[in-house]
Amino acid sequence: MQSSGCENMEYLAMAFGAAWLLLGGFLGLLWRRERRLRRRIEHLTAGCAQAGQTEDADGAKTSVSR
Amino acid sequence: MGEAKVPSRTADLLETILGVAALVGGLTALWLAFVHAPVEASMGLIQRTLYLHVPAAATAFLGFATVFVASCMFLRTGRVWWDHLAAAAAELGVLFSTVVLVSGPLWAKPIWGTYWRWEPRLTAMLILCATYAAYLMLRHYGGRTDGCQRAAAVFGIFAFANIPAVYFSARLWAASQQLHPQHVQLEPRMRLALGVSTVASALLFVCLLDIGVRLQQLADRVAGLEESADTAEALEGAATDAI
Repeated sequence: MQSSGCENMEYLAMAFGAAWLLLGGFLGLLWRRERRLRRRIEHLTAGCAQAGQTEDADGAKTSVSR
Repeated sequence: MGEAKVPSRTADLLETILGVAALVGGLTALWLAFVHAPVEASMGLIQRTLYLHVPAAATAFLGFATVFVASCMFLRTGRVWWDHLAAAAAELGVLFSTVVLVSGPLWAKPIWGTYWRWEPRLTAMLILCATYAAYLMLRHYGGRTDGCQRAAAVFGIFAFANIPAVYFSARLWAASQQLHPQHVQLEPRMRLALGVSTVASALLFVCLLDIGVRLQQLADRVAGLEESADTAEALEGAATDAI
């Protein structure tokens, strides 16, 4: 198949566009997931503090202090 | 299962460096692919899809190879960090193989005259992507239990058997059954553009993998806090009943 100039430009644009869209969508998904997890941690940490729980310095583990 | 903690400032710096490297690599790859590399004589402009399609496939393989290694290491050592690495790498493998499955047909239509044909490599790639999508579903619906992590690790090891099937599919089956070429000769500038695109794609993979592992650790922390909150609630309930 002989081809030259801007022939099939739309397919090339669609391929790169779809790739960028997928990548952008994935980044958006990661960003949303991080925000949701951080909100949940804040919520739970506040709840634990109220229930008399403490979190260690690194914030990795919690323990019941009674 | 003690985890080596990286100070958050160092982790942030590493993430930034990786992100900048991936961005610079990506921009260089785009320049090489669209400006430096010559237009291929028979296919024309659409051949530039090569610089997206092949690096994405290589990165998907890198992701699935990471799942394989991390799954083996998780089963061997029991360190949860390996499980996090496997989960994050599987997501990226599915992302990059989806790029392959989307860009491939868009390249195929003007060259082969059809978006899709059930030829060996296309079919094997689709099966590979579906297998790891099933792996992600297992992880999602199985919860963050030790049993699910172990099942996912075993799945991740067996699923890796698909990789050689995809890679060698163009050589194993007869040329008459293939649309993919069995041997490719590239002009040096095309080879350079392809090489840099592959490195840039791998850098992007490492950058996203780092973010993915961090999110897995955050999710683990949420699970731990939820468990503690449940325990505290149960203790409170028991104390109230006793009164």
